[in-house]
Amino acid sequence: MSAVACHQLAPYDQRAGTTVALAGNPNVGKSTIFNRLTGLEVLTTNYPGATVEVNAATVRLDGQVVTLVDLPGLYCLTCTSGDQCAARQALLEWPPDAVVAIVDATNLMRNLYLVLQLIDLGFPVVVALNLADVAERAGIRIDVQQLRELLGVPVIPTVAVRGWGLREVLAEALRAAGQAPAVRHRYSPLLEREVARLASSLDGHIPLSRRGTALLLLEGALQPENLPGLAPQARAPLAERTASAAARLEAASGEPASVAVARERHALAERLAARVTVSPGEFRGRAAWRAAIRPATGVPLLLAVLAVVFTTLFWGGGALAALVDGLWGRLASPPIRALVLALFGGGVVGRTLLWGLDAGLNAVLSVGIPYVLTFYILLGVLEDTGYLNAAAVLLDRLMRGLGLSGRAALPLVAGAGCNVPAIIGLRGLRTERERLIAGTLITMIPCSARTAVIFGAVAYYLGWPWALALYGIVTAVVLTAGWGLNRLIPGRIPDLLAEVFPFRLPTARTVLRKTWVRVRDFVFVAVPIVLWGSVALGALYETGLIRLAAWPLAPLVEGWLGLPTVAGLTLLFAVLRKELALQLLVALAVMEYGRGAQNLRSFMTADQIFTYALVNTIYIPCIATISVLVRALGRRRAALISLGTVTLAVLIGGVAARFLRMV
Amino acid sequence: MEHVAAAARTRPLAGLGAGSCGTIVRIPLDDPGMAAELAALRLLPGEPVGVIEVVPLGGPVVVQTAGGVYALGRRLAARIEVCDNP
Repeated sequence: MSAVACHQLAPYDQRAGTTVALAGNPNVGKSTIFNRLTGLEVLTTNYPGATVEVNAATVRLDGQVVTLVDLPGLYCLTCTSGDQCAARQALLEWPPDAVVAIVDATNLMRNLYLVLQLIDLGFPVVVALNLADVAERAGIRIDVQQLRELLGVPVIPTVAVRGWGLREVLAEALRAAGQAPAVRHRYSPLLEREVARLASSLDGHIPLSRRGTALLLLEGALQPENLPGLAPQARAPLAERTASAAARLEAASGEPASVAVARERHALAERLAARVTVSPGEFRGRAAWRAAIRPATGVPLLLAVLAVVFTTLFWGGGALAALVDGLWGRLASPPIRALVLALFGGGVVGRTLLWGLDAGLNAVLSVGIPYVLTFYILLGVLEDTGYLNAAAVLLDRLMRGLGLSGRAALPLVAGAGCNVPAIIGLRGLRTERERLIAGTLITMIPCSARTAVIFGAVAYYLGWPWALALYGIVTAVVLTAGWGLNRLIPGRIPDLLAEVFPFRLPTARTVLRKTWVRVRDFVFVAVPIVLWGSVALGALYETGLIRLAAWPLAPLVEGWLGLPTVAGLTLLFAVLRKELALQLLVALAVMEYGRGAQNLRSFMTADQIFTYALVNTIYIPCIATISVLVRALGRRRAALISLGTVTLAVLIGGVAARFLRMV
Repeated sequence: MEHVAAAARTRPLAGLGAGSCGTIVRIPLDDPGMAAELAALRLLPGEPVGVIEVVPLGGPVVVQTAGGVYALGRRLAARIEVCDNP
């Protein structure tokens, strides 16, 4: 998931120094290389630019400023989904000074297809022959020197997860920057003749090589109206020339031009791969994913994975929460209380500050972090083994019932970590309809903050069967919503077309680094919000204004949901961050009933805690999610989704409260 | 008659069972983006293809080509025509 890098970005239009793009097929280690290289010394840290959502970061290597651009995974430069279009735009409209083509050494032939396309376009290319260790273990040996000579570009073996060869790759890219490579390969005379004819008719300020552009036009990966640098009046004549060149090629080769070009490039890639592969080796490890995608074994495996995630969260997160709460109570709380009371006295000001500095911080550490940390470690392991990819294949049929393809399973699972990167990940889906349905469902998937509320409140105070029941209700809501949207929104479900990868053993380093980046983000963004939220709620409470503030909510919160009115107020605050609701509630309970495992139970009944967590899970996502939703789907749809989820949460919460009262 | 005989030799990829092989005869070209991606993955006319797994209940068809292993949605697999290997 690109979430790892999503908070380390330089806006794409603010590139500095030499620009180096990282391109490659999916799952070849691009993001690992990006994170490794930007981890050297990140100079700018920003959110992505609004124009193009391509990750970029600026680093310094041996005194030289380099902007690294991490492109989404590509098999070729076509445009069937938002991220592919963004990648193509990033390469064609603002050509980088050099492109690092990251290649999977265990599947050289297929990976060379994109490398050849990049060289055809005239980019200064450096090939990073990644997964060199995996290839070696499988007995695959590649003659690097010969590949370098045949391609006419530098080729460097790398092991991204260990950082091997990455500095050399970047240094080579800087050396190659700005110099067009000598293209050493040629396709059949028939194709080259049509390419040369079309290339000679290209005029204007086209930023790429004419030969490569002509090839792109002929293979249908680029339409003349999208060609950067072409004058508007030149588009129609170029479209005509492209069509007649394609027709001539089709007449001579007996198949559509796009197929003819692809076939020739594959044939060339195969010849090159055959010449440089010293030993083909044998790549094993496919038996495991076969078990993961067959329903008979895959469904039990999926349930087992979910059970492991659930029990680890319950036991691991719960133990960590109790430990942190105990330590805070013994070590941190007494000096903080003594200091605040000494400085500000025991009046309204002193007591209000204690809400933030003692109860608020305690709640962040004991409610938020333990579950979020545990969840992100589990998510990192699942991502890095490649299991999520197999799950997407297994779940394709279920996804179709929701109007989605298996591809949407990945953003939906990512949504269980954080809705924000999951919604950014929607750009990988093929149609607007699929993005709309998946976007709506993601907002209802319990993210790690909501998981913290479910586990920190429901599982911690009421036990795991209650937490399971809550997940059951939310799953039913998501499935019903998807089923309904699929019937309401006109249009067809896109087809699944996805590579299936063998499983890999995750390395502790990458998992821990991912977890650290995500949790660090969580802490730095969450702590100030929770502190100020607690102080604001504390001020309302200590001055007695809380009754006045909560009064308008009373009919809904007390009347319909059967919760204490103050709890409704914390739900309002939670729009800032989801787990803030519970943290404020715990802060409230700590101030009222003192620290301890039973404080929330003294404040609310079991039914109330369950209803509260249920409403908090379903209703409107946090403000950060709403803002990316606006960008991904537009204001109107984001508003509709937000309003829809509030209505749904209040309705379901009220029904659940009545049902619980009956049993 | 000859036309009927030729048509009978080709069938949709989705019609092959797990463990069987064929050669691609036709790929859908109505969506240029999808066609380009199929081509980049070496799912091209003339290419041999082996079916590794057919996920039941209308699930994807998992195939092995010279380019790699891919999962194709059942409807897409139904639109790719193959002929049996001689």
